[in-house]
Amino acid sequence: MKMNFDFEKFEDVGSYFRTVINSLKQMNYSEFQSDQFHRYEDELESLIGEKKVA
Amino acid sequence: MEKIAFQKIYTKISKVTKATCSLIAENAGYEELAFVHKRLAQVVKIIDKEVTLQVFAGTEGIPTNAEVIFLGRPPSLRIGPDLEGRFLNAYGDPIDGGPELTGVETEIGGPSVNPVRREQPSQLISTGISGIDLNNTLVTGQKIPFFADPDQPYNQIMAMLALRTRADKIILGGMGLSNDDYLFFKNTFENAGALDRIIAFINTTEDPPVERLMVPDMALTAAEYYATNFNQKVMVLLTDMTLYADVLSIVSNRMEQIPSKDSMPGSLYSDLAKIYEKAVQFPDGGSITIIAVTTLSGGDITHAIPDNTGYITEGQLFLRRDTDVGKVVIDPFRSLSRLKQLVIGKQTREDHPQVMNTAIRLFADAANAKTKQENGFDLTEYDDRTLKFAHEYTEKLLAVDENLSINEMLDTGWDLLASHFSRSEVGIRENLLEKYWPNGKECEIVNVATESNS
Repeated sequence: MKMNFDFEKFEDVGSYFRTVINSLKQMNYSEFQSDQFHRYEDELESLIGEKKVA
Repeated sequence: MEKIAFQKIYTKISKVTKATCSLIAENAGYEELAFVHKRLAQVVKIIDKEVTLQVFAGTEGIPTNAEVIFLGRPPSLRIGPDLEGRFLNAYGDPIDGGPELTGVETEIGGPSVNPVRREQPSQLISTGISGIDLNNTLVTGQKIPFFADPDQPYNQIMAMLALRTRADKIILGGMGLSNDDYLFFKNTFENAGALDRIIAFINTTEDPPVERLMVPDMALTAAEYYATNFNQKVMVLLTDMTLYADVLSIVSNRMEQIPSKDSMPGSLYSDLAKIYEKAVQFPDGGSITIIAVTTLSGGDITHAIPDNTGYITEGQLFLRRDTDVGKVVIDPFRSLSRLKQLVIGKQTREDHPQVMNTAIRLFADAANAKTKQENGFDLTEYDDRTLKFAHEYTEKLLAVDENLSINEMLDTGWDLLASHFSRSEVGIRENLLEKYWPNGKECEIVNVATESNS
């Protein structure tokens, strides 16, 4: 899967992807398909939606 | 000198080298002790009736008609309750001016414990040193070396371990110690009032080097006594195994054996394994844990001694002087306790694995930031924070001079994480963040970040 992201400043890239990584980690810690799992999945999708270039 | 009724005295030595002499003798056994010209010696080779003896004090001045008397027994140690608090030499004789030992004569250098009689190591042994307890937790029955450069204060760390480790008995095997080191150990143990649980076998640089070959076996025989008879947790500290191996190489060289890598004997692996494999966890609760020092020549871990040691032991601890904080630390990147997963988060607090892994990951980010800095690249605000975190982490947790309980180490870890990072940056499981994240700390982070951006 290939995606393009748009950032205003270079410094934003690191911090953005650290947040994405945290959501993935929390998903990994959660029970598969549990409410918590879906919450982090939604959070991840929303994060990606913020910066993704259509 | 020991006398036995009807003992046979030989007076015809056929060959003398710097460390050994050979003669024709009957009924001698391997490792049997003998006196050659009133000097203690040990049988190291028998071919038909030709017996080769290794003379501990060297063969200088021994004539070919010198008296050779076999004692009919291998080296032994008098084992009993009066061992506690004693300083003994490589033969197990007191060097502290105290009375002679009165215990049962016990042969040293026996076989290691049969694997089927062992228990899987699973008990934590804490040392108070965060670089060990937090990042490289030790387990009773483990064998692990300290890899250190010769100029690092490894003997001070051994003394620190002797005083802080939560073990029933500490047995020190000092090989090739300088007199200063010997007195340092003696004074430290006496001043700490810890002599009742410490036994030391000492070979100094003033003693014949070959004698130090007996020190590990002496120490481990004493350890086996306490671990098997009293089910005690025994910690054996051996320093310095490189000097031990150097003597192995000298002896093998003088016995005209073909040298292997780095002039070491071909049997180096077996010689070292014979010692390290004595580390054991017994089902009844007794255990022998071995921490040994292996000094490196110019930090070279590919040398035969650390290389073979690494194959036998269950991990390694690396000492390094950190130039940023000016303290000796246990390097988190190069150190590893292979048995830590048996106890962390199980016998320690639930957050231990996550705090340990997160702190080391962020410390690695700091190392990358430092490389950027050294190469003249601009640092981001995150890089600055990782560098500040690394400095405090080194000072408060990696430095060997800090003495904390494991819970205090974890609390300090949380405090450092919360002081420099946000919750999403640490990536720790949410339920642990809820339980242990210090209140109000994250706001400070936001402020720090805002200030440095502005």
